[in-house]
Amino acid sequence: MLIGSVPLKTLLALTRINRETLKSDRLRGYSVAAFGAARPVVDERCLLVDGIAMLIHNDLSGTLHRRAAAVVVRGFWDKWAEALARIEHKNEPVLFAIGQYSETVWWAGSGLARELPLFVANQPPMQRLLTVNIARHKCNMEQRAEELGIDLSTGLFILPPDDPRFVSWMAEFRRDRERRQEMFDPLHMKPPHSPSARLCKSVEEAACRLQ
Amino acid sequence: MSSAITERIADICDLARLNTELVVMARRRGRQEAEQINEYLRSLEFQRRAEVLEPRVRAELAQGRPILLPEIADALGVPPDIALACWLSQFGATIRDVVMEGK
Repeated sequence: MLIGSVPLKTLLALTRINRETLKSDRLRGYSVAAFGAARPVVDERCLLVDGIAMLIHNDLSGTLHRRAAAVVVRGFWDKWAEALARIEHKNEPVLFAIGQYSETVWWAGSGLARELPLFVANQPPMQRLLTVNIARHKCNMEQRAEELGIDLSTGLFILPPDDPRFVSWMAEFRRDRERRQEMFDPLHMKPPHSPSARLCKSVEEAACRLQ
Repeated sequence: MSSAITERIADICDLARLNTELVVMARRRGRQEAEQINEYLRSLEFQRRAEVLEPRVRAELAQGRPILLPEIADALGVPPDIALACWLSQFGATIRDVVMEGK
């Protein structure tokens, strides 16, 4: 099965994201999409996973500045995509989290929800810890699709975590990030480079239109 | 995957988020603050507040209604993690019985 894609109008209905908010984000350079991009990588179509990116952005914006939240979503696409893939294909309760130890030291990651409390208990005290329930966002999109009569059953949110294409997309993204930075600071970090043409083509081939 | 399965996963994640939030609160607390809280837990003021709250909490638990933890913590005058661990738990309340935000 391929990754589902829908027109922007449908994605906004599935995510209940306001068009004006999206417009404003794009004007200010705060917009997000999957693959660490600012806009959907497949021309004139939005992947369902682009909707998850927008919802994580909104979620984090409750605590972080909208720009910083966008940097997290784009800069750590691989972490939350892995969480989404494990939720969708392995039925695993996985959370995406970012934490702040000090003014300049942050971490981001994903892992089994039940292991997070123990992980946090064994860490130095954190100034901030933000967790994102990606499964909840996915569930909300699925429920809205049912309400709107949109059939999501013929498309995926994301490929399985062990799919060679998924593995290669993540590897390309991580290589790029490692080249750019060693320390994560969402207030000063630069967003990822635009995805390569090769990656965009690969995503296009892995996506299908949903009715 | 159906939304029912995703919803079950999301519920598990919500529970873990709440648990983590309480752990973070406890980890941030310094020794001095912990000692102050201990002292307060032994005070008459705390006992007075707890006595006022007890019937309401027991009733909510009996009806299976989720308890709004920040509200209870505020009424008791302690942080939410302390409210759960040191007071609510004596009525059999667990993390599954509480929420951080009202719906």
